[in-house]
Amino acid sequence: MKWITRQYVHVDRTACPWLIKKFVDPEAEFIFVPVEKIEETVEKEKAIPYDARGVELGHHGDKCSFDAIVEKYEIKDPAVLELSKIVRAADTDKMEAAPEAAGLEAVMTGFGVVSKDDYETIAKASPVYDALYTNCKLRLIREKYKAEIDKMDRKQRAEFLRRKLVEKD
Amino acid sequence: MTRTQPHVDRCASAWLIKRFIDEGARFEFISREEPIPTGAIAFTLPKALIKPIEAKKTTYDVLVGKYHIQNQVALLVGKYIHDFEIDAEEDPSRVKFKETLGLCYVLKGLEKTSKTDEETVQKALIVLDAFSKTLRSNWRTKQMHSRTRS
Repeated sequence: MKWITRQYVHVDRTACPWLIKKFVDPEAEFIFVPVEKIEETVEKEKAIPYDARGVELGHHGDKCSFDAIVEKYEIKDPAVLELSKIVRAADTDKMEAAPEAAGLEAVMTGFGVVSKDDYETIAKASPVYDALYTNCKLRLIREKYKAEIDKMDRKQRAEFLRRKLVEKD
Repeated sequence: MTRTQPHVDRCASAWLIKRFIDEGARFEFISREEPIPTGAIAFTLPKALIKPIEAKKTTYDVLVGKYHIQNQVALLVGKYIHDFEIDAEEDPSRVKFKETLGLCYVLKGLEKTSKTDEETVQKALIVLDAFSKTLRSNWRTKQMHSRTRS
């Protein structure tokens, strides 16, 4: 499927392609256009719009487009739900809502400056979201197994976490 | 030459070395126990001269001092690494700068999502190039504002 949004991507529009590719449509193709061209390009390319004014997969209330995609496609992965708090905080300028938000926003701003186009930006951004998603997974694992982990030394803890990270739920 | 599975300090140090000390640097990774090969400059290894000073300096700080790094952006990045590794240590609520945790959790997570340590460092270079661009831009804006006011 083709997916379309406004050009000059930042936080939401770098997070959403990652989410779409990983959890909704692994074969997704992305299109970036000026805002005034969204409607006609949706029609022409038969593309699904996201993070643009008035679209279903956009901001609603205090939630961002990443949230809209999570809800529409019923993504239940707990680490994605944790990651969505970070993306939402960074994208809606409520940095205090997630401690990682300000750093994420700074990195995405920089990608927009150093990249030659939005395709390069989302390619650079993808490993960042992989890393944050994995951190969220680890945080949940540490919470779930806190009692056991507290008894381990550093090496045992590292091995335990690595093992749990690759286990299927 | 540094230790396998690089996290925040080693990734940031690799960036500092590549961008401000030795553009042609190649990085190799060995375990704590392996001997350091002749000719390699080792960092963050038990027998290396360049390594963190517990609770005081990161490897990044030591590199800045040893190579007399004066570039503002390099020094600014170093503050975030120091904030995470030394000031906050095991307690993330103690960080001083709002961008620290986002940046450093990303750097930490790269190792777990890469197939090799070389891949981790490559990704870290990309992340820190971007982060430093934002810092440079913010720093220049502050300089302009302070010149306008004076």
